[in-house]
Amino acid sequence: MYVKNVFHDTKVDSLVSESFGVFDQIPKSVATSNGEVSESHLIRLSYPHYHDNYEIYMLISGRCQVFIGEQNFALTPGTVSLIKPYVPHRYAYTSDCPNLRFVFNVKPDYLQKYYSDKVVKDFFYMFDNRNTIKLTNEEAREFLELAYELDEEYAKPDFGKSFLPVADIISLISNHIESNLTAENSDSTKSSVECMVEYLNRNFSHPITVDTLEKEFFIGKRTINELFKRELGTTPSAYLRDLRIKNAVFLLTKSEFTNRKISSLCGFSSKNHFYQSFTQHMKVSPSEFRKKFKENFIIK
Amino acid sequence: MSIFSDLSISEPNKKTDICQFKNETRSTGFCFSADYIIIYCEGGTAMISTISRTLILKNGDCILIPPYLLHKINFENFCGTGFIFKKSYIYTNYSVTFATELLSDFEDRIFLMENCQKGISLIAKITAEPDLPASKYKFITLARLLLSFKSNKIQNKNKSFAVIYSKTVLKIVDYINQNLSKQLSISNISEQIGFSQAHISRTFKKELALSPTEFISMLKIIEASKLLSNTNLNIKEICEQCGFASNTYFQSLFKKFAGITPKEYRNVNQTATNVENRL
Repeated sequence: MYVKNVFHDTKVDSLVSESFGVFDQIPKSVATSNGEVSESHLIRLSYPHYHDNYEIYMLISGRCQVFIGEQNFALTPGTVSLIKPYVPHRYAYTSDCPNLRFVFNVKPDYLQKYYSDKVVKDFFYMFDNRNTIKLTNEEAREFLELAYELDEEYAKPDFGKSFLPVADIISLISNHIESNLTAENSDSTKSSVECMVEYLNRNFSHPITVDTLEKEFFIGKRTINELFKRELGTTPSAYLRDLRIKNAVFLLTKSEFTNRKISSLCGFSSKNHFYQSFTQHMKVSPSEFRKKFKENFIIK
Repeated sequence: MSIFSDLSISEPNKKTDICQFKNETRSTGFCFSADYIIIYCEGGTAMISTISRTLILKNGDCILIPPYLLHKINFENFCGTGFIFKKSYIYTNYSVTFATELLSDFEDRIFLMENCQKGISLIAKITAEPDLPASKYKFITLARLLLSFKSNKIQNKNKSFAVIYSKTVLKIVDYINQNLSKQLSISNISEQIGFSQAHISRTFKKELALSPTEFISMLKIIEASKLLSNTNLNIKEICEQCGFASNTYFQSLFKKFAGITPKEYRNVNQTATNVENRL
């Protein structure tokens, strides 16, 4: 089965038939942009699941929380959520009115039957770094028209001409992204944590601190701390320290570099600083760690 | 004399894929294009004729002219939209199997879609401002348009079109088309078909405003350009396949018709082949 699309009113459990895994970690409470939503409000939950195809979901009426991987997003009518293959996700409906929605799943190899590889790659490019998109009313109406067409074509043998509305829906969303690129970058705090994490991962070997993040992303130190706490459950400095120590451990075990060299390679401000934070964190000094590792390694 | 039509029909110097016609009155001689041409009529009349049939476009009609088809266009206060697309455009955006399927029927004759309600919105979408972000995905709309041409084809199969040429001409053109690889002259045509040489010359001049010799070289040049853009045969092989007496004669004749040498023509139009041959 390549494409699946269903109009539902409330039940969601049967929505995706091809779910392979069930994750039983359900967060106790959900943070939204409006504040905390207590558990009792989450009336309808779908099981967390993932599948090997791309999912495009549009909420038509009602309210919904979608959990994608580690993150969650509040959906309002007209919002599309994009989910990549093998990413666990689930939906929770938080309003009492009927939650109408349109969902379809599509595998690249279905589209590859009709479109060139380059085009298919273009189609799925928008799934990178993007989880939800709020369409304008006009775009949402166009989306629905295409959705009805898809529903019709899908019922035909061999999925009929499903590939046309599918491509149109994808192009609709990707055109929306392209025309709103600048607007969306500035107001989504979700992606800013991702951006900062990416920045840290790339630059930890330089002597950077939280102040660098402040300057680089134009976000106050306090907000950065809060964002990290909320999204990753840690502070940026702790995240950075862990990153550096992890890398130091790698270098200590896999290379013959001196402590001084390693401390500069991992972005510690000095050899002493390296020594201090390593010992504090690992409960052994770097040289001892290296020695122990070698002994254990040789004995084994 | 150039038989290579470029669809910037209204503004010959502006090489654009889309053009809007506003009260256009003009007529072309016989010409052909390496691209697919789609014309949508919004007012006035347009008469498109090939050797075998002529059709009149009315308001709301849409036609598709496949590449390498000899045709004539006459506009009378014509309003509408026209655009061209290359075979390679379809091949770069669609899988090879689907692209082949999509273009499979569009050969050898003009396709007409009468009163295409659905077509209007599709064409409007395609001819919308080219720098909109949506233009990247125009090929989806184009496929929809081609598919509606296809479904229309079955309905309109038995529609009769006015034939304006006499049986003599049709018979001779048919004979030339089947024997393009041979060296043809009026004398061997008259032998084969049984009309006198004078009769053939006279009818051709009267009906097509061309001498039979000119007409033969025209069809041969079309065949040669088709081979140049659709195959990887070298110029000598093409020259043989099209029944030209010598390579130099072919080169000079091609230059006279197209304004560029066969090699240059191939460089501009060859992309489609490379895509197909990659398989």
